This record gives sequence, structure tokens and C-alpha cells, in this order.
Amino acid sequence: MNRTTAEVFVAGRGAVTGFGAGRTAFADGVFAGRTAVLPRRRTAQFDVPTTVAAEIPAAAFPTAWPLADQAFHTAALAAHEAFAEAGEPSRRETGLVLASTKADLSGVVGDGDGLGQPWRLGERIARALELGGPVVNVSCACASGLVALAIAARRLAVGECDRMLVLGVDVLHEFVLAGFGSLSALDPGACRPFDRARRGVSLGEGAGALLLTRHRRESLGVVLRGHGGANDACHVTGPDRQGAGLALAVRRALAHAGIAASDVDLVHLHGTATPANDSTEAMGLVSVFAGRTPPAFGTKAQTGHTLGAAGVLETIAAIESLQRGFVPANFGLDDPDVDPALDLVRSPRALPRARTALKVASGFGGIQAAVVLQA
Amino acid sequence: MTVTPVVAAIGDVDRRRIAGTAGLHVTWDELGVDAPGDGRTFRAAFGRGDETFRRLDVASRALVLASEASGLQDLLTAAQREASALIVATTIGCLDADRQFAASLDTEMRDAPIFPYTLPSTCLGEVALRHGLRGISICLSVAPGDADDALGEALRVLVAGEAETAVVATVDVLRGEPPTCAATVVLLAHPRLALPPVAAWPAPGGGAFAAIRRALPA
Repeated sequence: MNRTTAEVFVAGRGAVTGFGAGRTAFADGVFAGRTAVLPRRRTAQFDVPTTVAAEIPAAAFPTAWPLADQAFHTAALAAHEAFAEAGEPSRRETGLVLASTKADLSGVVGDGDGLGQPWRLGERIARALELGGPVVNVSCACASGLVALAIAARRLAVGECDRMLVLGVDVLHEFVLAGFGSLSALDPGACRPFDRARRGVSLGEGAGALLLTRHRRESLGVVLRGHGGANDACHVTGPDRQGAGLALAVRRALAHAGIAASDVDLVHLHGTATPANDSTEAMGLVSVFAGRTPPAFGTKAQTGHTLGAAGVLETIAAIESLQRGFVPANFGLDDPDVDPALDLVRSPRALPRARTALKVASGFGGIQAAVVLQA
Repeated sequence: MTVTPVVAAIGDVDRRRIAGTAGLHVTWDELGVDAPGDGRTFRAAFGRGDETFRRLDVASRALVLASEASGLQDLLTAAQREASALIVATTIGCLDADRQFAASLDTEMRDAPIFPYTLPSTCLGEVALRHGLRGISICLSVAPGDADDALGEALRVLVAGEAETAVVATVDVLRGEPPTCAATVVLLAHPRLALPPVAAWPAPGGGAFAAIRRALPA
């Protein structure tokens, strides 16, 4: 098939996480080997089977927002940072792809207006930021962020607009904590992806923003080179037991980027810390890379699983790894328990010549997604 | 964009009936059950069983019935299913499932089986696994009247060469007793596949899904 492969560049980044407001706080926390998965405070009143979460510290905001406004203000903060890094380009020719699982649940549990529909949040953000381009809202579970990046890249590649802001956001809510708890998918303590002792997810909250552009002159020196997607088509909540869907998404992303698996220098993992997901993710990746994979790391043990924000935030972490020239250790990993051909980094590893990163994600509904970045 | 896709199959479920280009047209009165059916509906409509239809949420049932009624499974080869995109748009999203799960928050037993259906990508997954659709999967949350965005996204995927076929759907459920649901599934194909059209590709602008649906009996 002939594929549209016009270059798409990264012009700006923003982040709000359990480490606080700002990309620097996020990246410095991750690369210094710290964790924001801590005893629950704001969500402490909820009766759920875990003691921890990665909550955004109250100091990240000038005021305490009501629940109905938390997702909006979190997303807006990340978006403003991305525009600032990009030098405040025109917003008239900028569109938005919002990635969120539930956006605002204040009207589902409580008397707010939020009905768990991301399009409402997307419209509010686009209005507030005065974005003049198209607005697209994605709800693809934990793969939302990478699916959103692909949607934005597709539009930029054919020149539908000059820039697309890809904004992933989700905030902690009793509904989500209880839901993961009801599925016995929460680790009672801090999660430990890929470790023999892993017992499930630790949830987090936050927002990630990537301002993409089709103009090389606006680039930070980072290219979104390719993207790919697939569906496991075997189960709606559990992974393909061989990781075949993930492998398919990765192969499609590599083909879209026009590179071979051997060109990938590092991998940012999905790494939720559920027993099945981690093992099948490893199997899928190992099947793509002949022999041992490139150095691989995940960050959910540090940021918690931020759901709709995860794909964007973790893509920012992958870019940071390329730019800093090293891969951080997988936090909490003492005793790896997945295919040993997955090169899980155990202590910070220098990769000064690393140029190409692969980022993967999976979500309910069997959705698999991958993106290839070059810096 | 230079591709004019072929509308190769249509399936539709609304408050009155299930209909599709595979030839099915049956009303809920004839089936003796409210939309979107119960554990016996799939067999009653299609003459064969579906092991898990009974446990699906309302949106997934409607979407699965519409996809089956379209007959897409008889039109796509195994290789085409492997690469077919699947794009779903919803406005209301999972509000029905959300409220069902939320109602269990104050009880000792949270409603675990419904929780996965509080994500709209789950009903998409139910269609993917039934038809073996392993291509790009996208679930869009759209403002009222914007479900046609899913058709636009499918067109972009076809133009970009990321797929040669796309199963495009819209589904929404309004809470009530019984709930009101509507789902439409359309199979789009790149013209080079030479699949016979069942409806014209609608002109750009609003009402594309509605225009396609008009190819089915009312």
C-alpha cells in the first residue's frame, strides 16, 4: 500500500503529573528515579483496595478546583506549557485532539455536569485556548494518547492545518479507582511492572501535551516518524496471550516510519503491572525484535497509570530519553518475571547515540498502538 | 482527498427494527423483545448462537447486531479483516453503563462485570473480536450531530493507505426503561477492491450516516 508519510514534528511539550506542574518536574522525577506513587491523600476517603495513587500535588495549582473543573484545568496547564515551549505560535491554524477515558464524571457521581463524555471537555478546552483548527476527541481507553497522536499526524500529513495540539488528560475519581478495584486489577501497594511480585496497577492522574507541527522550522528536533495500530480481536479486557496484536501494531508503526526493528534504539513500555499484560507485552515485543529487544523502560511505577494521559506523557518520557542520552531504570523492578529477551533496564544506562524510540500502548477493547519518534 | 470509497455494507438497529444489506429486516415486535434484545435475540435474528451476547451492555448489543446485519463477515477475506480499520463514534458514550456502575459504588459488591463497558472502546472491541478485525481501532467521542466524523476519519485512513477497508459505526444509548438505542455499521472499501456498492458515498457535509441509512428499508 502507498502510505502518506509526510514529516510531523514536535514543537512543544507540557506535563502535569504526580511530580507537579511542568515537564521538567515530570522528567526530572522520572530520570532521577523517584516516584509519585504515594499514600493517597485527596482520594483517601474512597473505599478502594489500594493505599496509594499518584495524585497531582495541590501546589501545582493556584487554587483547589472543584471536581468538575479538575480535568479542564489540568489539561489547560499542560497545553499552555506546550504553546510556551513552541514560542506561542498562532492558535488560529491549530487543532486539538483530546485523549481521555472519562474526562469529567462529576454528573455521573455527584451533581455536576460531567457525563464522562470527552467531547464536552474538548470543546471547552478548544474554546478556552481559542484554537481555530479541527477538534477531535478520542476515548480509546489506555491507548487513547497514542491513537490521538496518529489522528493528529494524519491530518498534518495532508495539510488540513498547520499544528495539532494532542492533549491527554484524566484525573483520579472514585468511579475509576473503584472500577479497577472491582476487577482486582489494583496493587494494594505501589505497583511493580514486570516484577515477579507484581499484583496490579497503581493509578495516577495528570495531563500531557504535545504540540505537533508540519513545519520543520518550528521543530524541537523531534520527529513523529510513524504510527501503527491494531486490535487483538480476541478479548475485550484481556490481552492476546502471545502479544500478537501489540506486535502487529509495532510492525505497522515501523513500516509507516520506513525503518527496520534493528533501527530502534530504545522502547518505552506500556507496563501496567498486571500479571497478564506485562508478560504478553514482553512476548509481543520480543517477537518483533530478532533476539534481544533494545533497552526498554516504563514509567507507570513512578507516575501511576494516568489512563488517557498516559500515552502522551510517556511519549514525552521517550523523547526525554533520546534527548538526555540515557534510559532510566525501571522503578520497583527487582526480580524480572517476563521473557528475558525483553531488555528491561535495571540501572540507568547511557545511550548517547540513541536516535530512535518506540512507544507502545494497549487499551480495553483490544486496542493496540505504537509510535516511532526520532530526535 | 482523492479516494471515493465504496459503501459495501450497511447494518442498522433502532427502536423499531434490525435491518441490513445482508437481507435481514425484523422488527422488535416480531422478535417479541425490546431493543436491543436479550440472550435469545442473536439466534432469533441470525439463526445461530453467540455465546456472550447475553452479558453485553446495551450499546455493545446494538453494535454487534448492526454489524451482523450488515453482512460484512461475508464480504471480507481473512486478509482484509486482518487489516480492516474499525472506527466508532458516540455522543452519549457509556452513560448507561456509567450509571449502572455508579449505582453500585455505595454497595458492598461493586458491579465489576459492567465496569469495562464504561469505556466506549469496549463495545468496539466486541465487534472486532466477532469479525476478526485487526486493523487500526479508533473510538471517537463526538458532539451531537457529529457522528459523521467517524466516516471522515475512515476516509483519512483509506487515503493514507493505512487500510483498504474500514468498518465505521455510530452507537448511542439513551437511558430509560427500556433504553433507547441506535447503532449503524457501514463497511467502506477502497474502490480498487471492486466490492459492489450498496449505497452511494454521500456528499461531504452533515447527514452522511443518515444518507447511507436511507439505502435500507425503513
